[in-house]
Amino acid sequence: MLTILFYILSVLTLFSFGRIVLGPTLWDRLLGFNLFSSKIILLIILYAHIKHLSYLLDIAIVYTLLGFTSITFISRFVGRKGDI
Amino acid sequence: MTFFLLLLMVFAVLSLLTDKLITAFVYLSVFSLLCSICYLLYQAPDVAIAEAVIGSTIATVLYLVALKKYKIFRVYYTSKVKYIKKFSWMADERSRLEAALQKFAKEKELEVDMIFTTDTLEQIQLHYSYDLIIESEDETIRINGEKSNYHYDEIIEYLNKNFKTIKSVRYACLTSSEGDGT
Repeated sequence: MLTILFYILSVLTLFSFGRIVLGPTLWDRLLGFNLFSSKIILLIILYAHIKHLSYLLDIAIVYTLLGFTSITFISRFVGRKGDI
Repeated sequence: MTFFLLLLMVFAVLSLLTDKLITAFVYLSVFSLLCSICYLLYQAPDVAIAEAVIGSTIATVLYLVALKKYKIFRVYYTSKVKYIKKFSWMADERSRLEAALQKFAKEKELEVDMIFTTDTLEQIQLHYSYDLIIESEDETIRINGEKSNYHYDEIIEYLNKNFKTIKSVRYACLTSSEGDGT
């Protein structure tokens, strides 16, 4: 059951991937990146649960704490017109 | 597994092929995210943590700072005359040259930073970081730049095409004092 869920989530990442590649503006790409990273975090948690490897949850924690910084900095950069 | 590796390849190619730098940064962040999950699936969680911290956080910030530095085009304008009269030919030429530079910057997505000084060329070369130094004396305008500068050839070509004055314009190529990049 959980393995099927894993595969479904992997396929769902394709849609956010499409938003990143096709997205006409930079904001669409950033939105796609945000969706993509949240799905990757879910995948890591599922994988850790399936394989019974609890130390993999550390990576998920690091992602949730640090993953937003790059998105925040890029949107700050674009919003302030080239000033961080 | 192969699915993520294929996505990895696609993003690596995409980040090379885009013409906008900021879009390439987004692609590179996605690339490092995918890289990290591939490490994870290959049973290397410690490498995955390092990739998550360095690749998707510090590298992006570094790239953005580098892009900010790259975008500013610093032009020094020196003349021996301290005060330029409002409707003299000098003020006229200066404003025309400034307009041409601004137009060039708009095409290349740069930001022009014009600084007016009374310092000599040597002083500016020694003490400040510059991209272009424009000297105006009574009869000529001299445009100095370094050959190793990445916009030098483009701007000379552009000014040759779009900036014509009554007075003579001379272009001079400075050799870099540090001796690197040439």
